[in-house]
Amino acid sequence: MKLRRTRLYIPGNNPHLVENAGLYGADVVILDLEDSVPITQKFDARILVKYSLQNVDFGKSEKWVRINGINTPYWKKDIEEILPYCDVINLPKVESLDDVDTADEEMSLIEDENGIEPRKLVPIIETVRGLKNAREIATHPRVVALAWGGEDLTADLGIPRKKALILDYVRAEIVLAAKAEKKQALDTVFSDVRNMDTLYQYAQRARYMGFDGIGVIHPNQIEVVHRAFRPTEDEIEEARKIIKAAKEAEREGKAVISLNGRMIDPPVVERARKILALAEVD
Amino acid sequence: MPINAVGREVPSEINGQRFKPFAGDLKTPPEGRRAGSLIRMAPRGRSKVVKSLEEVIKKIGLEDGMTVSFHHHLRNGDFVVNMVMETIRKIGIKDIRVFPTALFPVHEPLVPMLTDGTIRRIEGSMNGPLGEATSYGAMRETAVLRSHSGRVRAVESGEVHIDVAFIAAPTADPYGNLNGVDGPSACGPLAYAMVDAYHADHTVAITDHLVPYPAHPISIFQHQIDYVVPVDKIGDPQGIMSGTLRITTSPSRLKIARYALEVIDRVALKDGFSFQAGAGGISLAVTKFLGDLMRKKGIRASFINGGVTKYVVDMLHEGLVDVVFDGQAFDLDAVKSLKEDKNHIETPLAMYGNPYSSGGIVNMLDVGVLGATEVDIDFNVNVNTHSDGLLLHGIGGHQEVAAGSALTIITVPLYRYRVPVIREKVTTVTTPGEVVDVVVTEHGIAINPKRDDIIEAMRGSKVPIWDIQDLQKKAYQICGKPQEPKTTDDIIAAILWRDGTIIDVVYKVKK
Repeated sequence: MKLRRTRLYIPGNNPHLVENAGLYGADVVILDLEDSVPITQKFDARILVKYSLQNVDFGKSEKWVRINGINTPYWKKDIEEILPYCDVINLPKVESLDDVDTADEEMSLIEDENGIEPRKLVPIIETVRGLKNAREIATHPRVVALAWGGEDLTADLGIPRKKALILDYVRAEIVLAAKAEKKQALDTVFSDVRNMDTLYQYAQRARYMGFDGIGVIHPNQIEVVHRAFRPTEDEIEEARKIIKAAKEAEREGKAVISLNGRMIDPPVVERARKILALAEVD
Repeated sequence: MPINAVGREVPSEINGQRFKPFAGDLKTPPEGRRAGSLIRMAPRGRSKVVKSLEEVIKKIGLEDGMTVSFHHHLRNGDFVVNMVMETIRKIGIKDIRVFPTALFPVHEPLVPMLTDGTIRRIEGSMNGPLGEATSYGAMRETAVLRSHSGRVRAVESGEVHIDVAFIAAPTADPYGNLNGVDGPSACGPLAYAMVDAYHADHTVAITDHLVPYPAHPISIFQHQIDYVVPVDKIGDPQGIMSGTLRITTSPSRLKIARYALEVIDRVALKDGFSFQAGAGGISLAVTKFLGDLMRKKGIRASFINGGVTKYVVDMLHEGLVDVVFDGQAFDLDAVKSLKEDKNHIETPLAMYGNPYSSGGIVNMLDVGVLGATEVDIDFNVNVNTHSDGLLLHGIGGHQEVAAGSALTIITVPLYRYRVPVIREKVTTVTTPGEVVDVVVTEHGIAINPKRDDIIEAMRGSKVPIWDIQDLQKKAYQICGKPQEPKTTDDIIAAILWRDGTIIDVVYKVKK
């Protein structure tokens, strides 16, 4: 599964930010055509993003485009213009499986016309209805991860974001919905670009909640988040022991793996593998 | 005109004075004996305090065509240069050669004096409006730019003789002992002015903080100062001190700083190493990151040469470095530390890097991190002109730090405002590629091919390593090929290498 610890949002109407977006080692670069682009610049931004995807070196970052939602007049044209050049479509304000089907149909059409491989889709859950349907949304084969958006969701609930008590439940629901389908769960953005200590705590909490990554809005946040997602030395040491025990059990033809008298189940071995793989990144 | 060692066509004569073409660093050995100044006496009882600048200029007998010098420790907060030059203009003295260490935007009032006959030429760094006016041909004779240490060499060798040194003094006593660490216009060291005090025929201290004899500490001693002129204000503290400088938050500049740090870590970082600090955004970040890395690895530096800021002072007081050599202080933390800490040492510019001396601090530097306006595929560096040909910056200590340091790193963005910084040929050569080891950009680094040791040390690093030609091509790919500056054949300035040879010239820009 691809690493998606950091998703760096870049406004699609800012050429200076777009051309340097690949320099900072984010796992994902999201060129945004939605909320950061005013209505008067939707057309220009789409063209800029289309040509940037073809000409700018985004390094190892996966190339996402957050298109406009399917309740807007822009989304079809967004897909038509940029789909051949990006890796993933990030679809905002998804409320149901029908929404994903609608986008999927348009994507399939463009993929057939251009003779390209199917692109992936990551829906963003930003409404109460979307949250209610998250488990169903995650089942769509084109969906590789679930993301969520705090501002719109709390607005939909009619509560102030900073005082919202429901967000831990929302997070848990997103994680469960995604993981039940073996998909990734992606936490929302951390928007205070000055406070790196709090960012670290936020990212580490997201990790322990079961998320695979968070959204960032400034390149300086990337290194901090990657550090927070790096397993601790204790976790790495424990994982090494588990893998060693698993190899020994395999070599000796034992069906049961044990470590220090404790039985190790296959999911624990799998988690240990993931921890070691993550530790080797960066 | 002869072609010099960096392929530039340069004249043999500037303002009627003979100069040799640049032949390579230290390939032109020094000749002759050090120059002296007028021998004076000061009998007991004669007061040195003079009420006004006009009176002191008349007492000295400043004449048409003479040379007056200034230091730039007060930077963009300096009042003294304008004050003195306006007095000279009012008296009606003409054809003055102005010999500052550097001039700043605050000195714009000198621009009309370039054309009214007061000033015939400036030999010194011109940051901003004076450089721009000179670029368009306002100066009657040709400007001459020298590095900090090249200027010291010029004075010591007699290439430039100073008739009167006007020395802004944040603190002075009535008998001419001066320091820069006290008073309302405190600036830290008076390092730039020391050579002027020693070699000028006449010396005038101008102060807004006259204290009873003896002033202490003493940076410039009484036996070198002829007159003391008290004035209301010698400067604006806002322009002298920058306040605590902030490290850049620009992600691309931080990337450059992190790449530079990795080069330092792999090539030079060891107990007892030394480095040159600066006050630019990237330099500050490198200093801060280096401090963090040294702390983590338990490494202690022998000295930092500065360009001193709070970040350097904090490292000194934390015990990460044994000694700070201070030629220029940028914030009040640096001034306070210079005053109070015996391991924070004020260093005369002659000690800093005069190539024709018995050895400067720069010869002991392990690492120098420097900036540039342009770098070319021969690793030549420009710090003086912009790509439109305008002369807007001085050399500072760039040449001697680059030439002296064991590892010289140039930190630059690949392009600025969509103009390539890495290019086929720099507009002006300030520092030759032969003394540049690594160029660091946000896209990765280029290592001078003659530095096999650095290439080897960087093997296995995650920092992207490029041929400098490929970096240049990438810059052109993003920005397009840069236009040549639109200039005439008239030379408006000569850029001297630290040894006094001509490394390049600057041409008049068409309006």
